[in-house]
Amino acid sequence: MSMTHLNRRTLLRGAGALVGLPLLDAMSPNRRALAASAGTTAAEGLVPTRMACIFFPNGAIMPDWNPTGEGKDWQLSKTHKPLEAHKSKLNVLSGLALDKGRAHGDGAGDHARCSATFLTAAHPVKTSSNIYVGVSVDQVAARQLEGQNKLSSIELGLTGSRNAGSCDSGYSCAYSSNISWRSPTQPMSKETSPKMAFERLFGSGDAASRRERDFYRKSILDVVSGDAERLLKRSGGSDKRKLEEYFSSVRDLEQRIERTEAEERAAMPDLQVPEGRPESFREHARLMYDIMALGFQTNSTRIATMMLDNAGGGRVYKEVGVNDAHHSLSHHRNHADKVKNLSTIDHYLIEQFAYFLDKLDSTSEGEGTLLDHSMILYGSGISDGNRHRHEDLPIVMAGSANGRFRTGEHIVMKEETPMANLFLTMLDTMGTPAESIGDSTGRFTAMDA
Amino acid sequence: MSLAFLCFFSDLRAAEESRKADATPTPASENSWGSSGAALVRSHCLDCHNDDNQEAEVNLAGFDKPDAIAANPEMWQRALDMIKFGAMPPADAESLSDDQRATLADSLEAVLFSAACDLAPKPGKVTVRRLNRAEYDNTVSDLFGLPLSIAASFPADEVGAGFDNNGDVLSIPPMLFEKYMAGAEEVASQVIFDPDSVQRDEIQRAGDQILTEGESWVGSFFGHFLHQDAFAWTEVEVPYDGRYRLDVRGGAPQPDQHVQVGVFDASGILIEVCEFDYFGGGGGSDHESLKMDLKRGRNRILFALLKPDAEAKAGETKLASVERLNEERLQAGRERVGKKLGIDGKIDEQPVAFMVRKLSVKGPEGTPPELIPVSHKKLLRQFPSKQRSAKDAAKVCLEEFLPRAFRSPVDDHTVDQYARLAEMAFKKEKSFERAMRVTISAALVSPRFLFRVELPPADESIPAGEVRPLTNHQLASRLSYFLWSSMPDAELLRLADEGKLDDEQELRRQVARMLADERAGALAENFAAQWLGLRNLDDFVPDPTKFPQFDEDLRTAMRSETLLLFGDVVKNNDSVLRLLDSPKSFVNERLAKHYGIGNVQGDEFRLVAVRERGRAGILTHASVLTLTSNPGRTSPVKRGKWVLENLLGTRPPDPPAGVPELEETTSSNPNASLREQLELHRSNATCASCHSVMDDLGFGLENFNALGGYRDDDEGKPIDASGTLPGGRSFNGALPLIDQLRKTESKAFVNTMANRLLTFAIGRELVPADRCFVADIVAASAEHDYRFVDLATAVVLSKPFRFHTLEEK
Repeated sequence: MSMTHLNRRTLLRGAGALVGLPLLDAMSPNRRALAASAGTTAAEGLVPTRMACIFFPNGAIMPDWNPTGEGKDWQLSKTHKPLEAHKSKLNVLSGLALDKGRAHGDGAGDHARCSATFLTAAHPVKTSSNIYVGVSVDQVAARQLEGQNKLSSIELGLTGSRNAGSCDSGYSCAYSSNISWRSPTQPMSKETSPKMAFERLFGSGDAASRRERDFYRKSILDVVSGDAERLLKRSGGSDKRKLEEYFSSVRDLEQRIERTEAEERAAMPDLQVPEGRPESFREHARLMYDIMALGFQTNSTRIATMMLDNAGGGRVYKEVGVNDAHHSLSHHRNHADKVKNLSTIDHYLIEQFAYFLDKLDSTSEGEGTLLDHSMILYGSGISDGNRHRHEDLPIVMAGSANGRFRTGEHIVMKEETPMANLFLTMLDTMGTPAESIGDSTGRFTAMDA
Repeated sequence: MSLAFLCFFSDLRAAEESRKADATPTPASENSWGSSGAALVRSHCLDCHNDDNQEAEVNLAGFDKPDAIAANPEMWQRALDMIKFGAMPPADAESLSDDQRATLADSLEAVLFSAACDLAPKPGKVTVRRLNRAEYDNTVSDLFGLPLSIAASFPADEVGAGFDNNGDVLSIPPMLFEKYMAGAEEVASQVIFDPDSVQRDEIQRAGDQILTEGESWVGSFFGHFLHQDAFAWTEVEVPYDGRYRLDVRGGAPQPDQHVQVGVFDASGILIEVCEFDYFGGGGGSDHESLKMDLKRGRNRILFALLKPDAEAKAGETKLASVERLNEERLQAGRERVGKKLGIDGKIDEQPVAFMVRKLSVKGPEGTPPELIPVSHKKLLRQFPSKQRSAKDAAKVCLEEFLPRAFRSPVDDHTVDQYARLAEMAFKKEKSFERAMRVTISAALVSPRFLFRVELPPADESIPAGEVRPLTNHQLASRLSYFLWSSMPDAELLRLADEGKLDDEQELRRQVARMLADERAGALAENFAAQWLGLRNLDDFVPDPTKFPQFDEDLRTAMRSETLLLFGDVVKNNDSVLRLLDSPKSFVNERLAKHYGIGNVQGDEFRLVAVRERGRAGILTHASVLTLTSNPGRTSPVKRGKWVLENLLGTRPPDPPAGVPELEETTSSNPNASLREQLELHRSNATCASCHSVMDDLGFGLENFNALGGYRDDDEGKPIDASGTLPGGRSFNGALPLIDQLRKTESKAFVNTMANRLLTFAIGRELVPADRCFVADIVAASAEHDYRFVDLATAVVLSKPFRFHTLEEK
């Protein structure tokens, strides 16, 4: 690492609070270098790119979602009005599709497929137990970035996994309850408690007892790894796979312990996090957005995903005057009242997203803001919830990812374009390129700066 | 026509014959296929489902050879479901007569059955399963003998094949592993007490904190000088019961004097005698130590003079003047504490007999027993000593603990590894308790604890693909997790150690014993709640404008009613058919009010007759009726679907996308009742083929609103609860519907329940080959009218429960 660039953490260690610390000139490379090398990782002392993917279920009312105009000459739609302040730093993308979310002979189950494909672009096997889909874009990146941040990624949600029978026409509930997949068979469970998410990212504040605990944990993990090795030697097939998943989680914890020891822990961010689950959706969502923003700001993690609800979710948004469940409303059959209610929900969810962008954009970092150094994907794997369409998906991309992307445009793809192509571009941007993912056919270049 | 749900005519007498029939498939089924079923497929199905044209991507071209059918059992099972259900052929194609449908269904069923069962079907393989949340909490509670609840902080478990104990969907992502690690540390800290954590503050009492009764004077250094008939007293609060050390500072008033001061408890009984010499003048004092038992909380201690020849028996001698310390005096004394003491002058001129200056209380001695959880003594059987190293002591503890924690024998190497961990921790901590906490934490995150491993023993070498019996210990775990959602108890482990679980009779005995144990309540909580979809009840949010009376108490009561009925069937070993038509149900005051049943007071649940209120069995439970409704209205379709899927084992085909919504018809026919609107819907032939059956089932329950409350009309529109099940079985109302189902569909119900029970017991999805095993289970429990214990026993004795097929390495 270059001697002229201070490690950012050096500064943070000294300061008590972490909110709004500017990068000193000595720490930030000049602008051109920044723009040119935006895809590089934190190890070289440059501002790392952050990535977040936020999922909402049941699609959206597309006539109210789609902007008017195209390219640089466009207006925000009714649903997107709350994003006014950030219009120049985001793009609305039209024309992306998740073909693997379509039935392809498997019959019903569009909601399970909606979430299963959202970040994998892979076709989930229709089964209630032998689950198999693909690796999601956030985990492709996270695995390659292991060791660089306290947590390679964090998976958040507001609703736990559904545990009642089948969730969608013969698909396991695992498909509807997760968007992040570590392997084709292993979903990354979501943390739904803000307090626990906070503690996972920032600890609970008692450094001395943490150090003592970690000292023993290392030895404990040695012993149980031994147990696992001996079992692995005797197992095959699906048993072996499960035990290997266990093993890799053990190693994950070992590495985290080492990383935590190697660096002095910075002071805890100042955020009031209540015990237990917040009563209201709005409070819960905003807390999770706060935590993601803080996680990015402190570089505790560079990758986050969040599900606002499980696929096919039936939350009742009473607080905005909608008394029916989200999913059943989404089969609106063009009934005016239902369409209006759905539009209200879409708008309400965008309002919370706007809160997140506000947080990111008001956090200065070097010569820009945290939002400038991120790429935030907000969308769903279904466009028209009534007919369960998996094309012309509702997607917003916010942040220019360190200048990698142009922003402030409505980008309309003339032909149906795989969303997986966008994933490949995102992986390039994180510095973790891949050859292909899901049904990708190439890179998505329509936003390139 | 036989009901499209199950081809065997299910009146109980017929059940006898068919029970024998389906347990022994005959090769004749293949011959009969050609002449009966095959011909019907050719005439009624092939036009749309052949090599050139596959509607819904279904190609039945191989229909004439039973082998081809055997090669594609999933597709043909689906075809059979559609035929039995009446969905195929569709209403706008050439239809089958009732007799033809029965023939086709029967013969296809026979072919599928023999395809699966003729050639000694293999029992399949269960993927290693991690403990789910309920199992984790139950297991640690049973392992340590303490009620422990840690899993609430774990993320919700994924569900596979309808249950959250399915090995294929349960995994350990990094986040969960961290929680297991933290959970293990938490458990360890609760089951082993750390004596160093006992509060042993020293409490001191002097000056204004010591009160006197009788004549006394305060010296310049705030000592108390007392007349021979007076006594001093003070109060201390201690955190625990136990033995404490008291240091008393006092003395005789004059040089060369010697006094005996007795220390008394609150009732005036002598604890011990302090022999004091001259206090030394000024601020000095003589001192003595004694031990005294104190109770947690406030204790009063008295100091009084003992005359030289007076009797002084500890535990017996009573201080007479203690009576003077009545409530009033006590209060007055307590109020004086903290207030400045006035010093008396010229004490030398007073008749002082003894003096008391200060009391220190230290303790408790040892560890107060109430702090030591029962698990602590059980785990820490031996401690390190001069003759025994920490490692050896740990070994003794681990040799008892690890086989229970890992639910199987543990070899010396493994014990040694954990003992080394204890040794390392002991060196650092200098505390065996804390060292063992670390070791216990390790055991609780070992895969041998977190997973139910069913690998063949290391020394066995049966080639992959072979069928192998589970070991005794693996069987013990299967038994306990099936019936108790927890680890095997001491008796099961002992039987496993002795190799006795190979014996069928022993297995029968154990099932009966375990179901009679209260731990079998887990079956209601985990099996029944998931089978009947009760967890969906938790998410239900009714429309507040239509149902303002709904609250959490009602939700809880609804859930309890169903689980209690199920538990009752298990406990009394009733026929499972009682679930269908039980004339009594469990209600408490809240639920009774909801049902309009009077004379029920209090929160406890009790059995009351409900049949005269038009209810019988789970179909009329508020829980079921609510979870199958929409927030604002009933959904006969959902109710019909629920009955078909969960009780009769026939999952209706999925609806196509873009199905027109109900509300369209509302606006065009605002005065039509819900039923009429639904019937307008079925005007489309494609829709009608499925909905005719589904909707009628739901209509039968229309007298119950979206919260399961009884109603005679729906917002003014009269309710028509009549319907017809295929085969001309008509009914009008819920009770007639339930009676019909009980009379004619009991076999289907038992079949479905056996299917679900087996799925839950082995933790994997059933495949077509498993149909034989399910049939055997049903047959085995038919003799005594399908009592629960028989059903559960048959599951335990079945091949998939006791054997599995080895996988490739």
